[in-house]
Amino acid sequence: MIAGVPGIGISGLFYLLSAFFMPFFELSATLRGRSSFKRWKLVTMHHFYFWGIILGSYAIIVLFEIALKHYFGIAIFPYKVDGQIPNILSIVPVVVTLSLLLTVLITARLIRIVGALISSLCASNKKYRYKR
Amino acid sequence: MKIAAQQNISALKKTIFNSETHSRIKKTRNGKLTVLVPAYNEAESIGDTIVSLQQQTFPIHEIIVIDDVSTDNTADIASLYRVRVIKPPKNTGSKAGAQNYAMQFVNTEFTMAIDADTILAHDAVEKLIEAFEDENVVAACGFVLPRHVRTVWERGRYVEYLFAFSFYKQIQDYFGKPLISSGCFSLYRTEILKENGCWSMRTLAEDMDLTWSLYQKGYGVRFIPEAVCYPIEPHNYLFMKKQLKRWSHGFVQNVRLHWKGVQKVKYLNHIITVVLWDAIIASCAYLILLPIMAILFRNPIFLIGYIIDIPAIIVPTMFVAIRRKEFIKLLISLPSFFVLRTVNAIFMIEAFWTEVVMKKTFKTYEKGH
Repeated sequence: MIAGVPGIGISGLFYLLSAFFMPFFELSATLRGRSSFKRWKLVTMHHFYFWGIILGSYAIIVLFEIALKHYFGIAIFPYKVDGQIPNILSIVPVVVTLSLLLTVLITARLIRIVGALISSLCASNKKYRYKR
Repeated sequence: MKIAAQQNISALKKTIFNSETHSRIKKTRNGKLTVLVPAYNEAESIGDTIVSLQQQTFPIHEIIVIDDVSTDNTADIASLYRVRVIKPPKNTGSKAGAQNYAMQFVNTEFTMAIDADTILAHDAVEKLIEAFEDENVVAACGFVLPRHVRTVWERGRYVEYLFAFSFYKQIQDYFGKPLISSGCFSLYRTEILKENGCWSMRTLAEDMDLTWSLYQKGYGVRFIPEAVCYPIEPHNYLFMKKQLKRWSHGFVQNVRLHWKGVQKVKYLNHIITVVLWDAIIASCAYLILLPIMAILFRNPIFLIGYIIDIPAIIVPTMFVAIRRKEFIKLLISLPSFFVLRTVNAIFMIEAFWTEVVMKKTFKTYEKGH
């Protein structure tokens, strides 16, 4: 079964980043004598997927910009800087999604820490009450 | 650095040719296996499932078909194939119930659960059992692809599985945490399965519940992409609706049940966090926020959210499809994926609303075909 909604949102970026970092993890495993050809094959394939997806996403963004500007006459970014419209469309989705991913993961981590602190405070309060 | 590398290579060679490793591999391959096939009104497909099991390259000690008080002739058909057919005193209400009923008859080292509509590649079990050479591994699952790819719903599911099992799940396995050991085809160490109380019926996704419980106890779960199975997927909206409702509610029920425990499981906690976020927030953005923003600001830039992940879907699926000589099938099926994804998003939001906001637990287990 597939949980969630595959492909959309921050999980896509999460796995993309995981695929990017896999060779570095595998290098560390190799130096510790825990790697194999099969594992390197898997890692290389997924790292290749990472670059393919990045290039493909960039191409989609560029095509989207061209289509809107030339075929529909729509200016996405209405302001000009030094007489030219800045090409921010290419980086905005990535920056927004990356920021969102980091925010969600950090918030989840903070919730875990706060939850653990509250649990330990409650436990020590109970202990104190029993001692009295 | 050179000396360290040489030492690592010698250590690696010693590990490969270590007699203890040899005997562990031999023991795993000699371990006996019982296969459980829970079935409720599966007369049309049970025969194919049993034949596929009997033709496996790995010898199966016993196949047990659990006829969950079917109203058709599932039991009669299964009996023709020289397998053990058992019937609980009354309908157990779910696949988990049927499998649990059968566990009293299992005495082998390994237990496999397979859906009655699923057939396997001829070496699927052999590939899967290799995962248990690692003594910490207690469950393993394989690659799932729809048996029939004809309707919009089956095509959408085909792309969804191709994407998830060739990209997401392989990354999850690399980091040691496949999200779920799929209920349609999974193999377990019997002793640990019984210690864990087998398949719990407290949620609608017993496979997810079992997997997350095993992780919290420190056990390992593996995903073996070479072990391929082919279940029958919902072919129309009526059955797809039942399956999606079960899966989405099952997911939310498991998050509510396990959220404290899984926080301590590294990498799994991150997977569940991002999946939960996407299931609820991204679904709302996809269905509601993006179109409203595009209309409100009269700027189509927001619509890029619908297409920006097309390369993310196409790149991994294309490579697997080419290897399987199914590239044309993939191209034809791609648009169906976006239809299914939209429907999936609706069910996820509904599940969250019902289970968390309205605090109503959905408990009806309905088949998906």
